[in-house]
Amino acid sequence: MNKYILSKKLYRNELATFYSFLIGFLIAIAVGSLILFIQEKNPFDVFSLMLKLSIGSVNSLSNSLNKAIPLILAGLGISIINSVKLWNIGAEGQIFMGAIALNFVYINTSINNSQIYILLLLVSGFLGGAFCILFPAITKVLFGVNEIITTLLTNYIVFGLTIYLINGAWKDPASLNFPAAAYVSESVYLPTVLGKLSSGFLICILFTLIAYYIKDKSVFGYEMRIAGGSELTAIYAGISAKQKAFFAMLIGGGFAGLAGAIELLSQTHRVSTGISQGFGYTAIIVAAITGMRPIGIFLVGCLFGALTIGGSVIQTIGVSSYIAEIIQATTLFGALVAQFFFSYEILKKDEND
Amino acid sequence: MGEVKTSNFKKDNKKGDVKLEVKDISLTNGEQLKSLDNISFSIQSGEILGVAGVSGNGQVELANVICGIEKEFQGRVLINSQDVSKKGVKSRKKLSLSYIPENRLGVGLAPGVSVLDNSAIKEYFKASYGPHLSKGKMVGYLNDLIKQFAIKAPDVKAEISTLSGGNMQKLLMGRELISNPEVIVAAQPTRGLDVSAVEAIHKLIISQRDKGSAVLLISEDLDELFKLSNRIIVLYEGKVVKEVEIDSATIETIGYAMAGINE
Repeated sequence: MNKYILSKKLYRNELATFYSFLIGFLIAIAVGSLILFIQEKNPFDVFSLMLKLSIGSVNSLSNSLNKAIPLILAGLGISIINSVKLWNIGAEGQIFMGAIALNFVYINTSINNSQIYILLLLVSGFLGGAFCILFPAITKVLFGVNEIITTLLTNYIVFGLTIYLINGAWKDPASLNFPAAAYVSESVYLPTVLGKLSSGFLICILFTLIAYYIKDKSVFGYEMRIAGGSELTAIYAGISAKQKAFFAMLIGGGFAGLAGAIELLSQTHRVSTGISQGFGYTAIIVAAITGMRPIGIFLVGCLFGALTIGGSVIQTIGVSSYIAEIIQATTLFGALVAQFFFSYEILKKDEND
Repeated sequence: MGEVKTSNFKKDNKKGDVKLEVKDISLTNGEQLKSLDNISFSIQSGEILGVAGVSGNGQVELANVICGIEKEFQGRVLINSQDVSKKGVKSRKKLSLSYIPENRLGVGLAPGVSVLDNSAIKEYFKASYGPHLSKGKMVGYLNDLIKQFAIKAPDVKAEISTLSGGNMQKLLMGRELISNPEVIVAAQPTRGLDVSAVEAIHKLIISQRDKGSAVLLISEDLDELFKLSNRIIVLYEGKVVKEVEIDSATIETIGYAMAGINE
């Protein structure tokens, strides 16, 4: 009888992650088509409509890219934290905290120069996100508490805080009892650059390059890789693994907080529950599909933004917007399975060996 | 008891100044147990001091104290007559200390990290300009290592575990020795390697000795210790129970001392 064993491949194709993504995406399209087919819709019509209304015109393309901004920024934050082999499940909470911190600064300060004011508000959003992950970071480095649990739980705390603020202290009297904070002044809106595309997208490009630099080209990134590989090696090399983990978490949280700040200044213009529609969770998918590579996160983030917009517009022909989410989730599933087969091989082993 | 293997290496090389000095080192762990008890010795340049002992009698702790990884200890460590007892790992490295840890993959090399990144662990700060890390310099350094130490590394971007044990150890030794350090601490440098790799590692240590390094060689392999060392100390339960010149040492006396038996 033959036995089959799983063995890690010594050499992985450089483009394995890219191929896995393609395979995952094709599987997802096939699954989506099957579901549409069961619903007696023509998949081809639906997908071509999605394509047309998500990237077919300047307006729809800018809508898609606007949706991509929080996905990309939060995904970059997750990838930076993953350099030390830690997982940030709390991007959703950090996005809300970024918006809350921005609103807090906005209420308590007043600067006439709107450019400087916008800059200050964006920085406060970044710091808000970093503050949100401060508690998980401290418990991680001091007591070794699992960061997956703590970052996940802070999501609920921050969401509760948001509900509390927009129903209480920050509730806008002019909102006709709709729970939301007051709008920020039009002078601090992020300007648009092309059609409806927010200048937040340019910030997004800048931060993609920053994340790429930090991870791949900087001393800090190198020290994070070593600390992520083995804490004992880091100590042996004179690198403080705990310090790297702490700062990686704060920076990663800040990226997600910045996403919340941009979302507030360019889309919602006020603190409400609509600041994030699960961007923090979708960002985990984006980061995981790309194998935590910043440039990949940027591209896949744009694709997922387009999918989200495409999903919402196909409702007009009576197809549920959940098709888009099914495609996103199946892409992750397919890509991870494909990555597995790129990294492992199944070997036949004779009994006599 | 078996016959002592005759040494292939000459031991009459010239010795120089004291390079490493350890004075009254004691280390107490949590429950008031002494893992190191009042250890003192010194090593001259061009000398190999072998540390015999059964694993777990304080060898790892001793190496960690000398190299700055273990900080809560009593006593003093001097490198080149300079007191480094309070100094960290990096400043000791700058004083030309190299440490080849017992645990090859996990301490000396980081698993899951590329060959290239692993090759730079000792002196990555030399490839940096402020916060920027020069990949070009790192690759150049690794190519020097590969050439000089005959390492077989087909893909430097691949994970370190794609190398064989012998090549991993060569990379680790090469990384620590290429800068020609004055003090070398090597713990179990040949454990688990095949004969040809062992031979290569032995030659490396001897050539380093001839260049004037002071070597602390920690090993469980008595043949290796007799073959390479000029002097041997025996660690038992954190104490130095025996110190002998290689000429007056026999495998029996060392073996008894390792087992804690005083003849």
